[in-house]
Amino acid sequence: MKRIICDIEKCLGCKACQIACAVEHSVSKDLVQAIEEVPRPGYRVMVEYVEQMPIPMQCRHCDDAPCVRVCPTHCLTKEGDEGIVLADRDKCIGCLWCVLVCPFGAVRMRKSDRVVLKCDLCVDRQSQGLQPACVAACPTHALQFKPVDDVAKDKRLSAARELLASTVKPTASGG
Amino acid sequence: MGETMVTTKINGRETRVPIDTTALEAARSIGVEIPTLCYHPALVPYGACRLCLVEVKRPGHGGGRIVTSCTFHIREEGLEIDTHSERAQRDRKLVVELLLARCPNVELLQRLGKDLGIDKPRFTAQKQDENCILCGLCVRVCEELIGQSAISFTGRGPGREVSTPFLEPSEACIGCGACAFVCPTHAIEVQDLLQLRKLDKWGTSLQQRPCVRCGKFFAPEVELEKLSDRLELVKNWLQLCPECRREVAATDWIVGLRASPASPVRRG
Ligand code: SF4
Ligand code: FES
Repeated sequence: MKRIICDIEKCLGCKACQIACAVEHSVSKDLVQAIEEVPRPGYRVMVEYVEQMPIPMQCRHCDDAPCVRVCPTHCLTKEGDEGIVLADRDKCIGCLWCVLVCPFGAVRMRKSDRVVLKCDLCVDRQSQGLQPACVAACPTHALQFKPVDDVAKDKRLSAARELLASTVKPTASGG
Repeated sequence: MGETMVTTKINGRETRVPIDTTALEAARSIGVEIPTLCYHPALVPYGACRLCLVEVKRPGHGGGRIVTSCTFHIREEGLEIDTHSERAQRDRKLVVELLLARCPNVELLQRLGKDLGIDKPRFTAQKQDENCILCGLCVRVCEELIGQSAISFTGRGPGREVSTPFLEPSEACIGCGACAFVCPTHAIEVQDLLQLRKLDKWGTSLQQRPCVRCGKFFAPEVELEKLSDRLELVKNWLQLCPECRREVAATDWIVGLRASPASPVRRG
């Protein structure tokens, strides 16, 4: 199971991910044309700022996703091995319950036509063997698309390294 | 176990669909467009607007039958469906003319009329400002999906309309706005006036909940209560507006990282 992972330390707040996301979900998939499109193509990743630190936020594709549970039309579904939460726009009735219940505020509504926007992990691109648009666009590789197992392993490794560094005193020679 | 498939000819093109598929779905699945007004993929087909007429022929059984494609289920082999036959188009035109006589100023109907080549409808309109075509989408969405049944059809014949019980503000309306979203003619308006959510057509006026963090009124109290019951949510989950929830989640992330021994983000 692969997810978009963010190494916050590397995020510049350039919002290249936001733009790439909007372009990917536009009709033309071309930046110059996308700007002119009506309705305006919407992005599904939002760069938030906490004490001046930028943090890209998007759908976490929760295990027991509240949006999926609450959706009266089952237009939001979580299926398959990858467990991606997807929205079927045709079935949407605009109740916006998904927007109201998402614990991460990751589902938005486009004002102009009340269409619900949420991250789909770029399933279209994935089927062509490409990475999600935000990941491909991130200039510092703060955003990565990785198997979740690897993420846990990375975390264990860096925790172990940290522990080692704090316990092993440098030798007289400077180690 | 595979589904039983049946072969059907749509506008001369053979296609195989699972048994029980409606003629409308079958046509759309191969890219044939049939105009509709009262159809919504999330709702049970209703057959109210009669716009989706098609001609269905059973080979060897003479002339075709005109049916509403949204409610016509394909249950046998070899049916021949003509979505734009002369008869279907003629009847469709009549349907639009009648709808235009009810709602002469609804843009969507005017556009449909133009597409069907109606220059001047044969019937004169009684009222100029009617914009409800009685498709029932709002009634059905509220009952079938939202589960509130705040509105329903009342009256018969020319007196038929959609309204709340006894024309009083409905106690069942939670102000979700799904009715307004699905209405094809924009006959229903949802307004947010600070602490109030209003749907004037139904006389609804509901108190909205202010976000505990930013103070913005973001959704009707009754709607949020329904949602927390439905999800068995912890009480304070829905005290924050979605935007603040996003900011809080971002903050928690940083706080969590700083607390973790392996964190590179420990900056005091
Ligand atoms: S108000 Fe709109 S959705 Fe409801 S019946 Fe009339 S036209 Fe249909
Ligand atoms: S769409 Fe079939 S009758 Fe309205």
